[in-house]
Amino acid sequence: MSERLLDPSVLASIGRLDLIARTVVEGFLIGLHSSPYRGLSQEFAEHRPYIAGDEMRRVDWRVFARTDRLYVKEFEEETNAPVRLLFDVSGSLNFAPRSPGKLDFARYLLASLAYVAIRQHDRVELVCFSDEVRERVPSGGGQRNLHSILAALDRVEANGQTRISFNVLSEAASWKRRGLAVLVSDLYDEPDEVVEAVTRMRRVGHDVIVFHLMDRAERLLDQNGTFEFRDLETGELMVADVGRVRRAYVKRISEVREFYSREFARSGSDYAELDPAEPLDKALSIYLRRRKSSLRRV
Amino acid sequence: MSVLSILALLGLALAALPIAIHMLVRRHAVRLDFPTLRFLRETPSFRVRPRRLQNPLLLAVRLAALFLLVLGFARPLFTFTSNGPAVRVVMLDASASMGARERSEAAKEVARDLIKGLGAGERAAIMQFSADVKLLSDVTADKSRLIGALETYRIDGGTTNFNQALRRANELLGRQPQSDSSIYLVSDFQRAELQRAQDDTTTTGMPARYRVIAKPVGAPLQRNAFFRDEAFTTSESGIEIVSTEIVATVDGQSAMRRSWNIGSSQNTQADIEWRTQANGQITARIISTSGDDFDADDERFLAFARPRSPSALLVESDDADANLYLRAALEAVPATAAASGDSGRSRLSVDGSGALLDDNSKLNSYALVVYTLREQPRAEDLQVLADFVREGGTLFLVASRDLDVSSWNEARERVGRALFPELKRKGEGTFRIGTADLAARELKGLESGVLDVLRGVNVRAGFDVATDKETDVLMRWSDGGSAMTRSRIGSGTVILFGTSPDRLSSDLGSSMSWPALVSSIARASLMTAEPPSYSVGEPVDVGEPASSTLRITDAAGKVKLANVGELMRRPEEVCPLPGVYRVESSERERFIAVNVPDAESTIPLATPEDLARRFGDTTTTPPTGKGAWRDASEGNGNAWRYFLAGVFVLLIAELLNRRLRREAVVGG
Repeated sequence: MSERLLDPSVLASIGRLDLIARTVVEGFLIGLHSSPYRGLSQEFAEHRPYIAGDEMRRVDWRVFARTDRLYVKEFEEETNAPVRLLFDVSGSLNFAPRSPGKLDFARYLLASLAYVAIRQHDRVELVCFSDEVRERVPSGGGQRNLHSILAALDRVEANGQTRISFNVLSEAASWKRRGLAVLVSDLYDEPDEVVEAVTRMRRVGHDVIVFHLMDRAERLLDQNGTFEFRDLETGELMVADVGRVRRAYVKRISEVREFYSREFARSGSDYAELDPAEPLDKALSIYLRRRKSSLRRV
Repeated sequence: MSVLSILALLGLALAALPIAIHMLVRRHAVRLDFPTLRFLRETPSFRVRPRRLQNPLLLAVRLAALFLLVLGFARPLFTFTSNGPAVRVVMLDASASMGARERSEAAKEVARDLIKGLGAGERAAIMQFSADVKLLSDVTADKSRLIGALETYRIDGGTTNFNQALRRANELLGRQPQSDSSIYLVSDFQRAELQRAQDDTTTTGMPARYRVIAKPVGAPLQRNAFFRDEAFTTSESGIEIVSTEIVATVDGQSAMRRSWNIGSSQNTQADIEWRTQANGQITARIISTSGDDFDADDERFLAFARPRSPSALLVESDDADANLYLRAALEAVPATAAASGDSGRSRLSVDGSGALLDDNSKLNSYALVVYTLREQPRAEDLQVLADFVREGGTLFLVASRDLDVSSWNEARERVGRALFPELKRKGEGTFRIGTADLAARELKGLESGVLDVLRGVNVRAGFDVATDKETDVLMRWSDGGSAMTRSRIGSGTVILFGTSPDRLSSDLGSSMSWPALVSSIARASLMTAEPPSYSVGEPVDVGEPASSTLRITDAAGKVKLANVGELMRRPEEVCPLPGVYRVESSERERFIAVNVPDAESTIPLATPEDLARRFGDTTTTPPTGKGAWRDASEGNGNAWRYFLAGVFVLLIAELLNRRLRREAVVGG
């Protein structure tokens, strides 16, 4: 059941992002006990003395039994680490060889990330950019912020050219606290610059997850025939015979993917290729793992 | 392969259209939105302009469809040949009937069209044929030479021998390199001639690879008048010539017996002229004055020995019994049957003599001499008898039981063994007549019932008559030996019967069959021994050895040397035209008359069905020229096959195109 709910094609039928987000997360968490992702649930971090106003359910009654003192459990979620969702909404995300396309998939992913982050009481920020910032939802927690994020995700459209390095670094420069940055993009920018931007974020202590969106069609160029290719970012047109260019293209794409994987790993970032046709559990598990390790260092 | 419509091949230029489409297709290639061209642009081949021809497989299929459609319009004609160019053999009928109603001119026109219609590299030969075949031009591609040879085409008076013509054409084509060959038969195709060719089972069939195309020419005769069936009688008033004039029309034919009475010298009447030649023969020309469409058979030429008077000489022997039965049989010849032909006016008179007449001229006045061979025949008598026969008389020899065979054989050796057959006495016992040749002239008067009676007669003494190639067997004994033979000496005939009617030899004298047999022989003696005329192409037997050289002079005085064998084997070359010819050998001179063959006078021409039955389906080709090939191609229904194939291939092309488009649709 949960796996099915994580299937993007199923999610597309839901329609509403908030429902999608909840479906994804709840479904992911329901299956967590029997999944390889066990252990990623909320973990006890420390005790602190009870103060008026704390919820009684958080009182650690075992400690009270031992000590006759009221202490409350403090979980990782209570660390309030900022989560920055960086969403590349350049025109290339309009590539939709099948349903859902890259843009919708990215929406589901980010909505789910925002949902789980909010659920974990993280403060979440959303920045949508292409050549410049298109949408911004300031950092915040709670349902209200979640709704804002979901609304922004609903609203945003993909257009313009990619300027990942510029925008990411610009945003990173404004962050006062270290946190977790999640970059969701198809990374159609200068690879060196992208890697440099991510490395610089890591250098200053941010945890970075890069979700590289790449459809199978982009990866393998599995069409046949001659087409008039149109660049979704620039609008440039070019006729090409796929049969003649496929081999070289696939080789080049593979080189780029290997570069990203290698360099992001070297920088200590998490890197994952996400195919819009694949379920979202992979992305969520990566996020949760990285968040957990991030909280330990905070 | 050739095509009938070369202009249609220009349609192949339309092949540029699908090629252009496939080259232009790139402007209308399916739009494919792609995230970025960054990496595509980096591939080396991306910088190269896309293939000019898109979907080469689809292009090839479309071109194939276009080619088939164009080919259908062009109407290809496939001829299955190996390495030799096509050869056409044009066979022109040169028989007498081609002279009627400008048939020969029409034949030349057809031949001219065939020559002009020769394609590049094609060759032709021209032959004319009637009873024999004459090559006018050997195989050549030179059209002017062929046209020139065509001008030497001449009609002769002969009959039409289709089988011989085809045989010669086959031989000529067989000497050519393997090629696509055809034989064009240009003729009026008289039905009688065609039927004769079909009935002639002695000729070999034509090789299947040679097509025979019949080209009928000439309008059918509407009316034709000609003479047939001559007969001659001699009376006190002279010689009567009787002939049947036949007038044939498309509705039928009528016949009228006509007669002329001619004297001993020469004269010319309105429709007959005759001459008595120095050798005693009479040559005559009968002319049909009834208007008709065919002039060549309007004249009927005759050459015949003066008919002898209807009389017989019985050389009586000492055997009274034999004499009695012989005279009784001779005198019993019916008056009506005693006439030559059917004139019915002459009667057989019978004279008796105890010995041969010393005066040969008196002997020659008899048509028939009956002589009994007995005891020891004298060579001198045999010589007189041989002279009589040589001059055209008929000698009927009966062999008595007391004949000394040794003396007979010795006597015949002295006068010339070839003149009289050898005899061999049969053994003791009774035997009978076996088979008889009722078609022989001498036995034609015998009815089959009489023959049955004759075969029941007991014979107690008899002889086997020896035969050779010059002797015809008229009757056989029941044991197979020859009982009666006929041999020729000069213009006359010797009938030798191996028994006698006397009662000691046989029961013939008392049999009713004996007078009938004698009567038949007697009537034959009154007929002209030689036919009064031959048909052009009919073998002529002049009674000379085959190697004898003959000097032959035609009516125009043109002289030709030939031997007897040629006159027998290739008479149409020796006597090609109707008329009277003088034939001179070392020993004597004689005249022969040659006429247009009967078959050439017939009116009905072969129908298309007749031609198809004889020559096959290829006879239905239309007049010459490319039209013929066009119609043949269309008749075979070739064009629609290419159209259908083209449409089918087009359908395949479009299905392929749809599939390719479906596979190519990605995004957009």
